[in-house]
Amino acid sequence: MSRIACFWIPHFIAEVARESGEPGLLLVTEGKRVMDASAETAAPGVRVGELASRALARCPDARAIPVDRVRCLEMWEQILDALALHSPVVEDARWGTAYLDAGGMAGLYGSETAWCGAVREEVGLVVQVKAQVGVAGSRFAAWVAAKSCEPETGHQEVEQPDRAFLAPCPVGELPLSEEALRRLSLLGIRTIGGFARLPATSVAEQFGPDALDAHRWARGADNRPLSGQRREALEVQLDFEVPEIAREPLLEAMLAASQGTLGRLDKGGLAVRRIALEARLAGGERWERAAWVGGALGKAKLHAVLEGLLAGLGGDEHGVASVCLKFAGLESRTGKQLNLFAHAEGRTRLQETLRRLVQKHSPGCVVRACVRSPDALLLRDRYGLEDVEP
Amino acid sequence: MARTRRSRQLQHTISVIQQRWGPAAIRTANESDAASGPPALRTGFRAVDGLLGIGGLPRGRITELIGSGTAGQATLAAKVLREAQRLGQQVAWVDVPHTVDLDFLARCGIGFESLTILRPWDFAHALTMTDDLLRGGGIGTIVFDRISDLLPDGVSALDVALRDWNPVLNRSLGTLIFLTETQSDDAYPAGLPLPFFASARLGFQRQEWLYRRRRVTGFTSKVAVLKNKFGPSGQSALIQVKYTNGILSGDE
Repeated sequence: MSRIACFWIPHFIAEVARESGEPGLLLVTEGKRVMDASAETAAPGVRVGELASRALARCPDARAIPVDRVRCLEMWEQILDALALHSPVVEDARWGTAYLDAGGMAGLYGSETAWCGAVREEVGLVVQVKAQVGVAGSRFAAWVAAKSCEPETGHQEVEQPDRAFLAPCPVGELPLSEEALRRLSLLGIRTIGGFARLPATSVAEQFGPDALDAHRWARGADNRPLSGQRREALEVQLDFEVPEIAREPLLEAMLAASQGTLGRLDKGGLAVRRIALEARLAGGERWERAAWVGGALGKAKLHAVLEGLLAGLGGDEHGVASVCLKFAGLESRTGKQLNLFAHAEGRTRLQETLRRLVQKHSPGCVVRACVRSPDALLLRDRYGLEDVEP
Repeated sequence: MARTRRSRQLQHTISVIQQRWGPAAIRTANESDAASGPPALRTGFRAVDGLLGIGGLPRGRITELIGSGTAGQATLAAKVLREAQRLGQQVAWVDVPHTVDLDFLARCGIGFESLTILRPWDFAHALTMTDDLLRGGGIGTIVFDRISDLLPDGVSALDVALRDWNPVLNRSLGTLIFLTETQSDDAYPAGLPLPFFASARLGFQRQEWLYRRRRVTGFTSKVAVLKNKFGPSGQSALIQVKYTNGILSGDE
C-alpha cells in the first residue's frame, strides 16, 4: 500500500521574511498584491491575492514588505535537501508544500509518528518554522491531513481508508470553483463525504468535467503519482595547512579540486541548480554564500560563479583555513543529454497524458483515426474514428 | 580611457547580476546558447524551408498559418506532422470544427498509429484540452485546427493560454501550429493575440488551379512570411500542391 506524506509550512513566505529579521505583523507583497501574510493577519480578514492597500486598511498594524524571491528559493532548497535525507522521493509542489514518499518508513523509523518527528526535527535544523506533516494513502488526503493536524503535535497519520478520513472534512478543501461550492452549499452538501456520494455523471453534468478530478479525490481515489526525484548533492572539501589569504590561488585551488566533479556532472548529463560555498576562516569564523546556476556547468561558468562568490568574502587577515563547495539540486539537463530511452519515455508519457485527458474530458473527445476497410469505395467506409481507451 | 572605464563598469554590473541571479541570468550574445537559433521541423516544401532561415518551422515555438480556403495551409501543417512522425514524435490534431478529413491526412502520408485527434465541444474546451495535452507531455507537434471568428471571451481565453504555453513549449521543444482561416485574403480576424505570440507567421494565397485535360490536378499558392523571429520577414515563394495518383504531394 502506498503512503504519501505532505509537508506543509503555513505562510512560508511570511515565515522566511520573519526569519530574515523582519519583526511584527507582515504583509509580503509582489507588485500591488499580497503574496503572503503572517498567520495573525487572517483574523482581520486579509486574503492572499488582494490589493496590499486594502489589506493594510483592514490590518493597519501590519507592515508591507516586498517578497525576497532569492531568499525564499534558497530557504526552500535547503528544506528540500533536508527532507531528502528522510525520503527517497521528494516532490516540490510549490514554496512551502512538498510531497514525500512515506512507504516503508514505519519499518525504518519504528512508526510513522517517529518518522514525522524526524522529518520535522531535520527541517528545524535548517529553519525555525512551524511545519506540519500529514501521512495518508493519497496526495489529497495527505494534504488535508497536513492542513488539519493539531499545530501542537504538527503531524497527523491517517490510519483509516482515505475516503473515510475525508468524509467529515469541509467540501471547501476540494479544488472546486466558487460557483460549484455555492451550488453545493445550496444543495446542502457541506462535507467531502456528501460530495463523494454524488454519482460521477451528475457531478460532470452539474459542475462540468473539471469537477470530476475533485470527485475522484473525494472518494479517496487520487491516483496522481509522486514525480519527484532523489535529490543529490556533490561536495568538494579543501583544507589548507597554511591559511590562504590571497583570493586568486584560492580560486585556482577550488577550480582544480572541482575538476573531478565537473567530469562526473558532464558524464551523468546533469545540471546544477545551486552552488553553496562554506569557508572556515583561520580566525574561527564561518562564512557561507550560495549562487544560483540553474543549468549545465562548464569550467568557464564555474570560474565565473566561484569568482562571484569569493568577491563577497572580503579581506580577512587570518586567511581561509578550509573550504567546502556543495553542488546541490542536481537534475537532468533536459533536452540536452543523449537519452536512449527517450522514445519509450515519450510513449509512456503520452499514454499517461491521454489517460488523464480521457478521464477529465469525455472519451468521445479524444479519438484515434483508423483504417476500417482500405478498399472501400466510399471514404466514410474507408476510415473511422475510435475512442482512446483510458 | 573612458571606454575602458565603461567596459569595466559593465563587467561589474554583469557580475553583480550574475552573483545574485546566477550566470544564466545575463550574458553576452556570443556566450548565449540561443545564438544558433532553435531546431526546426521541415515543412515538406523546400521553398518555404528556405524562406524561414532555419530550415523549417521552429520547434519549441508557436507558428501560425493563415489563409482562406484551399490555399495550402492545412497541407503544409499535415506535411509538418508527417515530418514530426518521421522523427519519432507523437502528433495531435485539435479538430475544433469536427471536420477533420482522414483521407486527406492519409494522403499527406500521416501514420494513424501515432496520431491523436482531439474533438472538443467548443473553442474554450479546445483550449483546455490543448493545455492538458501540452502540460502532460509526450506529444511533439500539435496542429490546432482552427481559429476563425471568435467571441471576445474566446479571444481573452486564447490570450491567457498563449501566454502560458510559450514557456511550456520552449521547455519541451514541442511545436504548436495554429491554422487561421480568413474570409478573404486580406481579412484577418480582429483582436486575435496570435500575431504577438507566434514566432513565425505564414500567409497563404491561392494563385491558380493546375489542370490536365480539363481536370484539376492541383494548385499553386503564394506563401509569404508575415513574421519570422529567426530570419527575414516579408519574403514570399510559390509552392505547388498536386494531387497525383491519390497522393497529395508538394514540390519536395
